[in-house]
Amino acid sequence: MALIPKETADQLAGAGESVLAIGVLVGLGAWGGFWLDGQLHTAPWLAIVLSLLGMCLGLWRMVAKAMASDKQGKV
Amino acid sequence: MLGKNLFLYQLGVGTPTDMIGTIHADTIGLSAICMVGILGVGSLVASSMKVDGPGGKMQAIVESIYLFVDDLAHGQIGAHYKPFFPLIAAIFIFVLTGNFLGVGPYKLFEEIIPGWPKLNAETGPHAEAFEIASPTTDFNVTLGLALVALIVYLGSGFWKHGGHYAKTLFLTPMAPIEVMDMVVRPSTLALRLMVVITADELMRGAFLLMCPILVPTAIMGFELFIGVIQAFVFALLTSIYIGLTVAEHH
Repeated sequence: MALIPKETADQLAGAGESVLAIGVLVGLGAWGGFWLDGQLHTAPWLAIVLSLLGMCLGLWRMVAKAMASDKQGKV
Repeated sequence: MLGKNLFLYQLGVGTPTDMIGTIHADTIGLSAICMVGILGVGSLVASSMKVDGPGGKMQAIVESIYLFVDDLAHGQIGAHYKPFFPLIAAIFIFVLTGNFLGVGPYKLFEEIIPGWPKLNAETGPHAEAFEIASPTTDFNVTLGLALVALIVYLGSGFWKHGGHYAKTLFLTPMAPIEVMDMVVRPSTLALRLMVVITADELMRGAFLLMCPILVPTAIMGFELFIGVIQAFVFALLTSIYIGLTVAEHH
């Protein structure tokens, strides 16, 4: 009694999660950057650098998961 | 959106501390209403349940939900899904009930019902009306559910694979991703649910104030659909995470 086929559900869930993960990692990087800027008086550089780092980590995670799921046939 | 205008200490129950922070009385109250509702319906169905032959309408609905979640958990986790079924079912049913609880023309009630409870009533026109909304609009609720999912999927990995699971987490090429996932997975679970349901409620509130005839009914129908989808996605992702950790190839 599946709402949608399992494979479709897996792929949609994985794709949605990967995209949202990029947002979360950028947000965490920006938040950490703002806090460190406040502590070290380096505004706005650490916020920018850590946001970009978060975006790179998010993209790397998305690609690595896609390649791993290709090998295993799973999300 | 809950959690912004009624703290437990405003009811004189206690004072917030730096360790605990503020405790949202409205979220706790509405979550308790959800839980009482779920237990009440479950008790009613259990007491009148027929094992042989067709049961009543409520039994049919509850059995449909059971079969749906059973199919979902079995499909994602595999043969050993039974220990995890209560968690997946609880998450699905609680999120679904919470989402449905928030669907109602409450903003209109706040405006037109005389004597609707107000907070900070002494401020006169600036007093805020007590808000009834889905408990899943409070980040504490969604984060709590997501952290439960995180603890269960990490725990299931150690339960199934023992110390070998720690090697998978920290000593393989995918280890940095696995460690990042311990933050990313609960965050995405919590944020997705909270943001979608909050956006729905804001949209309904806006339409209720602009055009309170007919249009909000369509919006509320759409909200019910989104509530089902979000409950399904939360339960699906939790069961996917558990399924990945208990998979035999780890």
